[in-house]
Amino acid sequence: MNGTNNMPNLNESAKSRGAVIFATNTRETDYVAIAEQNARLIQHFLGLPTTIVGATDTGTNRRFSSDTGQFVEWKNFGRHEAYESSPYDETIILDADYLILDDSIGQLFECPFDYLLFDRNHTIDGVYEPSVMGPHSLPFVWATAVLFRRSEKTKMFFELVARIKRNYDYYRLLYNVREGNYRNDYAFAIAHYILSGYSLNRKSFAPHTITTFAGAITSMELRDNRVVVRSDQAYVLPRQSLHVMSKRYLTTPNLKEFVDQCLSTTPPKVS
Amino acid sequence: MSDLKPIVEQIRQATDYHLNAEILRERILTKLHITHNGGMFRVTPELLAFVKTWPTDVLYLEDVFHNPIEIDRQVFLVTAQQHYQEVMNEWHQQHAELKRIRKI
Repeated sequence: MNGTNNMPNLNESAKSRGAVIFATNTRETDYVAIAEQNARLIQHFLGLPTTIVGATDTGTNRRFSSDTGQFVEWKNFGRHEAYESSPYDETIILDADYLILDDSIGQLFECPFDYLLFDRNHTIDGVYEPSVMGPHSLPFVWATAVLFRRSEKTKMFFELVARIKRNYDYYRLLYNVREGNYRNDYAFAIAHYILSGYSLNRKSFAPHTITTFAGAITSMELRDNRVVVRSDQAYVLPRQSLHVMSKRYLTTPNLKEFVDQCLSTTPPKVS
Repeated sequence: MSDLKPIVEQIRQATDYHLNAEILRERILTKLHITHNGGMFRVTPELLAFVKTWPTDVLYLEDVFHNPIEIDRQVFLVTAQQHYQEVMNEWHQQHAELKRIRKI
């Protein structure tokens, strides 16, 4: 026994894995500060590093604010740059406000895929979310969280998303998208449909649901592994990743306190 | 109108428990997933019973991504049973706590 069999294959380097958060500040919201707190959660619950990216193609759009009941500035067009911007072989792209509170999203990397999308979203405080992009359009896909590995197919996917973004007026009409505003969600849904041979291929959809809290939040607290969210009423949620739309809450010092509470829990075993 | 207000408030409080319990159930359904040999499976009583009664040591099961996955029956069964027990225990415990704190 000369030990040759125990040597690692030098041609096969270890794959790097991490999260990428796109964050561009607006007049109303410090998205970078939110992303920094989320990066602490990602390190704790997933054991992964985070890269916060300011996209070059931010665009300017408007989103409805559940805090004020008015439309506010929103700069989040550049998701198609993720393939080039990510320093990792395996990447989780996240919205800054999708707070990672468990390890379920990381476990998905144990399965083979080029890219993985979420097509299900549950808004727990009862706000209606459409299941299709228009009455005669494609089913909704949520770009809140997207997982991908570097491959020819994934590269093609992101190039297609960029193409759809550049020619959004055309693709919007072609796919009967009701909303006029550009959304990453729509571009990802259309690109996936085209790349799947114009079919609704479910193999690239995660088996999990994104959980969203759409309303204004006054406080969040971790109590015995449960998250107590106070809004117009109190919600007692299991500790799970949560998409928080209340930017007013996320930009208060309360977010850091909540993250500190979460970091005091035992982190899951990372494989 | 004044009679209606307390009723609305009572109904809102009564729905808290059901909503929280439903959100907890969704979380548990997510947690019931395990990975084996590059496939992902949701552990259910039906899956456990099927694998337990299968007569050979190797079988092929369809995972949640619609792929056929080779299964080492013994290894899979032990992992799945342990995971199922752990997650269902957690569900029972958290559900009991929700019942304890419910107002109506």
